[in-house]
Amino acid sequence: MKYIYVTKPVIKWNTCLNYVKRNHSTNVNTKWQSVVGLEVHAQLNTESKLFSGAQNTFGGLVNNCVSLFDAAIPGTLPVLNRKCVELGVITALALSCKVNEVSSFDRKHYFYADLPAGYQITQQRAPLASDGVIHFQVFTPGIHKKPYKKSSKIKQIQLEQDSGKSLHDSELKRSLVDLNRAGAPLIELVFEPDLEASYFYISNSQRNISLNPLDINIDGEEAAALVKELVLIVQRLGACSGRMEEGALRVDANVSLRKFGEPLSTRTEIKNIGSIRGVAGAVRHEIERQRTILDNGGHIINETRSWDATNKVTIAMRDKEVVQDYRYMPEPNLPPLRVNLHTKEDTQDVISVPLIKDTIPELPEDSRRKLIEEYDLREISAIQLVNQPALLHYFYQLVSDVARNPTKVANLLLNDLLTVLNKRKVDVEHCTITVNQMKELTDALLNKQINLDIYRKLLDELFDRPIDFSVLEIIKEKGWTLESDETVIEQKCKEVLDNNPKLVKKYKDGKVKMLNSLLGILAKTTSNKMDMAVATKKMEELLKK
Amino acid sequence: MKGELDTEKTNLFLKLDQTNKQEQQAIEIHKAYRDKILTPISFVDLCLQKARQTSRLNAIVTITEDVAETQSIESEKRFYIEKNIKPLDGITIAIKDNFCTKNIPTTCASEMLKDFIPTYDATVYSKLINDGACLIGKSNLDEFAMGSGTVDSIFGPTRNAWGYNGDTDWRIAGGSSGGSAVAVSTGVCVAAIGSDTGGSTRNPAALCGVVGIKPTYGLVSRYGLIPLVNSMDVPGILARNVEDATTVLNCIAGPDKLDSTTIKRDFKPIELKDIDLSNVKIGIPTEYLCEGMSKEVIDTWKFVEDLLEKEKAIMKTVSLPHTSVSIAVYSILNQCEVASNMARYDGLEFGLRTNEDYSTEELYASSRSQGFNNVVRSRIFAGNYFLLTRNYEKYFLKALKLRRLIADDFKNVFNGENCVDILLTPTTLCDAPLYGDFVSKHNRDQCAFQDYCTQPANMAGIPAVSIPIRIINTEILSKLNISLDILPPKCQELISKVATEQVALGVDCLDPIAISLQQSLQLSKNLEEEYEILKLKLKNKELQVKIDRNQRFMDDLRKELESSIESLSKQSPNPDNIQECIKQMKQKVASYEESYKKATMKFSKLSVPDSVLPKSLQTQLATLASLREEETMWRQRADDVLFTRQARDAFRRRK
Repeated sequence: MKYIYVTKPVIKWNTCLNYVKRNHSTNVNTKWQSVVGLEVHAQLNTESKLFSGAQNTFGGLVNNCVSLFDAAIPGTLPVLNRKCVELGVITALALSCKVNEVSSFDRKHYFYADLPAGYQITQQRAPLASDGVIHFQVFTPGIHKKPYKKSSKIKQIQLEQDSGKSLHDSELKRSLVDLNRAGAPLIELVFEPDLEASYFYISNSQRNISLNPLDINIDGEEAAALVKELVLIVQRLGACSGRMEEGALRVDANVSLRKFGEPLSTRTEIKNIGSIRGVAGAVRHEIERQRTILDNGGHIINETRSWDATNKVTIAMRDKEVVQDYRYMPEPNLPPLRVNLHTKEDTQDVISVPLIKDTIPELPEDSRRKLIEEYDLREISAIQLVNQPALLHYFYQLVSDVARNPTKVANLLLNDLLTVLNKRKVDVEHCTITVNQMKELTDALLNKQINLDIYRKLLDELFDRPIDFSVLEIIKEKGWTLESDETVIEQKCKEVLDNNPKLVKKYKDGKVKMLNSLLGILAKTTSNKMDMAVATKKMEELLKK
Repeated sequence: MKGELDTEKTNLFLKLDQTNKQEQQAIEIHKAYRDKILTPISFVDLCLQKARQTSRLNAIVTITEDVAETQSIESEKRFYIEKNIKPLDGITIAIKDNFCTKNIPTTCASEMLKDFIPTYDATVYSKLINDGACLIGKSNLDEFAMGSGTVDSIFGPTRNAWGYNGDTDWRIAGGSSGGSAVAVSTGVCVAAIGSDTGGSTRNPAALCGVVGIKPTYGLVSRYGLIPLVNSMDVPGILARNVEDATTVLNCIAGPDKLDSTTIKRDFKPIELKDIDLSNVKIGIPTEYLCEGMSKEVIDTWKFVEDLLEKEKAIMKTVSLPHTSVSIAVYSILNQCEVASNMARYDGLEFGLRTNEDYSTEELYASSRSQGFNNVVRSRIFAGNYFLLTRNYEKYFLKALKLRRLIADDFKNVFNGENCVDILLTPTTLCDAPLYGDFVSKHNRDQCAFQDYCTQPANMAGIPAVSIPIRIINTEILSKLNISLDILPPKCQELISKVATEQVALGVDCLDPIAISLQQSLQLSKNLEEEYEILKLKLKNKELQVKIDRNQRFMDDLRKELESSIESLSKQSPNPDNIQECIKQMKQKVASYEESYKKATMKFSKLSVPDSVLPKSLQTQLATLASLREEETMWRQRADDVLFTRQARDAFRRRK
């Protein structure tokens, strides 16, 4: 394990935070339209890197997954990884892109310590695919009352290399370089700047209509929803892990403001946003920042900014004066990349696109439709289930073999399971409950062996048990089985009635609500083990006698 | 006289090169291993020795003795114990220092990566090692391969072996894979790996006289090659011949899962076969004949063109209309990718890190300014400027569009009705420049000049090969001439003797020493021939001198003769009327004899003693005697005249 030492931090972080306090101007009569366009880098889920045989992995030993080519050792040459092309093509097809029969690679030059060759190999001039579109649902509980559909056009999808990582040691004033990520395969998805929202900002003598807080979030939430949908798609395709926290999917957001109907104005670019909430926050903040500047008669500078997730602000990154000229040049060491668009003939060098098309799995949009149409779920449930692939997996498993009520199953998953997981601070993806356990558990509830309360208790209990521990065993062990024997219930009900003559009297006097109190007492005294539906019936019968 | 000799030499070297091409070293070496004349261990040891010996050339920056030895032991085991021989077992290689090699420093010749020791192997290297090759060392280059001379390295420049004699100025090796090229050309290794972005393999191959291949983009994996321009980089191969280069290519090519830009198809190994050139269409792109191309290069280009035409290849002139803008487009794309590729050198994970600790940005700035040289830094600056959003369309995008047009140029030439199979172009615009001249220019201009013919292939991703044709540098040649010619005969004899023995043993072309011996043998053979020629020439000269002397003698003779004729003609009687004279004389004599007879008859009757003989008679007798004397004198003279006449005739006939 060895770091490559660089003497000093490469970036001179601009420490001056250009954070401007939100300042709602009330005397400006302006109508702004914000325009947001995203560029997303997704790491492809491959064994080896884009142009070398080095292992493509996250969290490997420092500088341990580096081939000679990745370190730009003179004389080495790139060899395109076929798997990367396949994953790129399948992603492109899933986003209804036009896959280009011939694409080519370019060199993008800039000096940076974690870019050993001094250039990045990308596809600037002739990308792998172009002209696609992504459809997504915008729905953030707490912000949106109901979901709505939105779409964004994709300009192009290109294959490119990732860079290494620089680690800045400010105390010793040096930088360390880890090349494990250098040369990892990425696809860059360039979206058109077509996420637009208008802000009306009317000030007149009568009243100030300030911004609706919901409106402020429009662009941010839409951008976030787009990214979420993209994550789901690439996960479905197996093209990318979608783990934003590992940097497997990184978002750059181009944000600009213009007066309604005018052409696009100067934009700023927020680089490397590492979470979906970050996308929403960064876009929102940047719109606010720009609007404040413009409202105060200032100008927006074309610059690169970064998102500070802790302080929730964007920060200027590079020196503004320096305009990078990437000096693009065709990569001479790679022949043009050809794919077969028409037939299913697949060779080592030419990939068949129709063949790949056949392997596209069900996409999130299809899943949502299916959930609504076939399982009769509410739109919101469908969106939420699809947003959590693990839950959707449980759902499909639970409703596929035996007829279980889909709506109930969905609600159990979305409400009860999520509550337990949140309480335990466990990510859905890392939920250890097996499908079998889930089936036992759900069946126990639906067959009234247990009630909802026990169901929740059991969910919680399962996390402390060995994997795939039998649910029924726990129920037996804990004695949580629901009493559904009518005579036993009747007996218990009688006991309650006998012990609470006052309440019975009140009931008989016409206070029908006393039934609930009596049932409550029953539940309490029997530790929630009675089948309350039967108990209610019996109790009523007994009271009416 | 001298010029003639030089051309002869060039042709000889050309021949030498061709003979080398026909041998495949790798196979030969394996044969020697099997015959146990050499073993991988001993050969690798020899190569290492050679690497140390040639250290002054600065081709190898890290000699990997331990690695090489371990690998050679493995090879030896496979060869002799396991009997499981791999294609490159015991074959020595060098690798450019921008290919990662596990546990061996890989510096890119930069301060930034001076202490960088990779923990992994480049695909190219691991494939070579898998096939049994033995790494001798890492070879020099321009910092991060940005250059075309191998002069901008923290290890200092690499020197070209050709024409190097240790003095102050020498020729560059070309680049940026200059180290690899020199290592191959000096026999340090059988083959070497370079990288080729805009000609970085072919350029030094051409300047160092070896084969350099830039394969098709994506044929060979770039994994582990520290990039310059990813969209153009290709590992390249340098070897002494096409066959060896092919063997190496067959080893390293093919799809690689670690490099997404490699060609996915399975690679079929290349087999070299004889081809019928009459079926091959070869294009000569007119735009490649450009300003600044030296006359020698153009001549050589034409020479090869003629050679191919003679072999009945179909030659065509073709047009690649965007060639002239190619270098500018290349430069922009290069700088953009450089700016991007160099961004990783921040001193954190690896590489140079200064003690600057005020802030991360300061640390970056100081590490990067200390770690990179001016060339790298200026390209980073320019590239970043081009890539700025406001400039992207203006420069980078336009450059990309032009690159497409340049690539289309090639497509059009290689396809369609009027297509060609290959293009024939020079690799460089001139031969290896002197170091001093080269570094006086800016890196940008160096590259713009050196890469002119090579970088379009990188822009289009097509393959290219540089093959040595001939040495066009007369100066190097003359230096070589001197160094070989002045070898004492005894030494030459010795070399030739050793070489002959080597050949007799059948161990030619095995190791650096054997290779050099083989070469020496070839050279000494050639020298012998030359010596014969010289001897003959000398004889000829001697003969000429003799002939000259004869000529002079004859001339003298002729003059003498003429003068004698003249003098004779002035004399009376002259030779023309001498016969008449003689006749008259004879008649006179006859008449005198008659009168003498009459008188004697008269006087015999008289019997008069001599003393009483009349005085007049006595005087007559005396006159007779003197006349007789005169007659013999004349006769002699006539004989002489006759002889000279004959001589003159004979001479005239000869003439």
